[in-house]
Amino acid sequence: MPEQAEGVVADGRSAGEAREEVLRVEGLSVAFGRASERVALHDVSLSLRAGEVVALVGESGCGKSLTALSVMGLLPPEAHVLAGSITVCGKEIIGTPERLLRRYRGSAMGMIFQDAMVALNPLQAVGRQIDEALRIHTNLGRGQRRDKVIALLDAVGVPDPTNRLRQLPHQFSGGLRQRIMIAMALIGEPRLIIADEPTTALDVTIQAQILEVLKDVTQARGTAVLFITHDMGVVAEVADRVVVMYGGHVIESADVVETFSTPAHPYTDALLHSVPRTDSVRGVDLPAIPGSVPAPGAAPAGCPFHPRCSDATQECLTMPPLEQVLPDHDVACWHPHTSGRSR
Amino acid sequence: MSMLRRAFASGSARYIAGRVGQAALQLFGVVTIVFVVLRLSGDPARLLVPQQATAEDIARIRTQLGLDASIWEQYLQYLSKLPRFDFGYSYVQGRSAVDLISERLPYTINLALAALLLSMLVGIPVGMASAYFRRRFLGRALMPFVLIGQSMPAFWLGLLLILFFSVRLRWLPSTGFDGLTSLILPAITLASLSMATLARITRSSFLEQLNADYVRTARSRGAGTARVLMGHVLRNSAIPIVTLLGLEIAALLGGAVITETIFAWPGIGQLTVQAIQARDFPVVQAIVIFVAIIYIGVNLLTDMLYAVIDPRVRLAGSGEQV
Repeated sequence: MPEQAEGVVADGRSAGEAREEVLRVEGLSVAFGRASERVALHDVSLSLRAGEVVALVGESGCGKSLTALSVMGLLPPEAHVLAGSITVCGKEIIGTPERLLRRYRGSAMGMIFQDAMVALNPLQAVGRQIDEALRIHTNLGRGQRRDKVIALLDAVGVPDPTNRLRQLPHQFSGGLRQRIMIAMALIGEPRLIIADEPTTALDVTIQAQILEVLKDVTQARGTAVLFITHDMGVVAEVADRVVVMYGGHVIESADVVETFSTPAHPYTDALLHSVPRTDSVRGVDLPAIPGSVPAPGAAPAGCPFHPRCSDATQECLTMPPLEQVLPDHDVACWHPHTSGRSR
Repeated sequence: MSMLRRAFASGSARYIAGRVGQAALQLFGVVTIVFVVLRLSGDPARLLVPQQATAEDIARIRTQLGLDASIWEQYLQYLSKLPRFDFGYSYVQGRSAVDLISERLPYTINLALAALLLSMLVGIPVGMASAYFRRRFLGRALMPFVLIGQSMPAFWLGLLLILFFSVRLRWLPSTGFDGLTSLILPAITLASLSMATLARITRSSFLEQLNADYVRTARSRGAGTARVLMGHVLRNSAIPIVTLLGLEIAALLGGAVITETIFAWPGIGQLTVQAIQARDFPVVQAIVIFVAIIYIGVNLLTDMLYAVIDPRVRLAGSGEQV
């Protein structure tokens, strides 16, 4: 399996910069409440090309998952899109009737959820749950679908797939359940996968294996992955690019290497400093960011991070635009750290 | 079917044996309580003789019926006949209690099945719809009807139906049994309560499941409303529904006393009322035991169904994690 996967990866990489755009989010604003009084996403823009892994990073409540659900057209009923556009493989999602969205879900785009224990139907055999996207979107016969399911389960590392596809989710370990989730999202061969904290519920060794599997299967197929996480270690592991969100705004977007070497936004910088490192001094507390993420609707005027920011000035009371500070490196900050602070 | 077989296969023989033993004990308790309580209710001989009968007449009848023996003797004699399904003879009609019940049983089964079918076909879909469309007009509009169905007493609803469909419109017969048309009004009367209860339990069970994460996962694969409801939510919300259905089936088969009385329906319910009024001990005892057997049987079946619906019920504790 790995040899085959790597062959395709090399192939995919050679296509280079001209790869097709799979997802484009532009100026997306989403609010909660009857009168849309609690705005949770402000003017969010991002894009993904085929084969690219973009990490969407931020603390809980910053709007990562909401962005993902908007893309899938699965926003909870109490949330509304105020403005913006989302296109998946060139097809508009916002304003599209549910009947059409259903055709895209599972075929053009798939989603991997955080906790497979609750995200899987506890009373349906896993094979049947994986197979569902094929039953909905293809005309394949029973046997063909079964072969596909078995092959994919094998590819994501579920042992003895022929027998185990008849089992129920509770008969699998946490790691295997997450592999099943991955197979489920991928079975319809979508161009875009949204992985919403797929490894958060797992312990660290299993986490590494799952990331490996996810990388293998998506790279082999040239699938674009929007990887949602709050774990900077995972970001370094998987991402090509990083989009940092805070308080419902995209505040920084850059290449993964550049994000780690020269984080321009004070929040990104602080986030990186709060990751434990092997050269951290024992006994010294990890730096934490004081305060907490503002709730939707309760955000301060201007840059949502300014109350927690050591660099904040009077200027920060107005929201800075997302602007390019370096080639392919955008940041929304009046006082970006362009030189790359020493870490 | 294969699921049933699997449920039975996984070490459930001992479980079933245990349950059957438990059932026998419950039955013994029921027999004893009914026997004693009935004998506290008064002297059946007094109801069998004319007003002007002498004390000797009454004493003679008591001897005939075996009521002159001590309660212990009566009880032991009664128990000794039970294994042969001999439940004694009706004091009033002189026929065996078993015959009387089996004569009435087909009518009660007809009515019970009709009512059950009606309440399932209406109650479950109404509950599903009111849960799924809870934010929309349909979901809100259905619940008042459910509430009416639940609060309307059977005797009142039955009379209204007779008044309207039999007396006014002359569409349907009001009493007795005369073909399928005479089944309609009693079935509606009898079903209204279970329909409403079923709708409510279905609604609350569905509401709980509709917010579950696996529903969102199913939608993320492109599943539509029908697929989400029938393919995923129904089975997950089935346990409370099945529990209620079991109780309803037992209650319906036990005879609908009020409904059968209103519509002069010749079923078990009517027989029960007649037997109690006449202090017809053997018949009352036989009916109570019959109803108890139904309840115990249906409960056992319901419990086994749990394991079929949710295999975790049986697998729990057997350490089948991988």
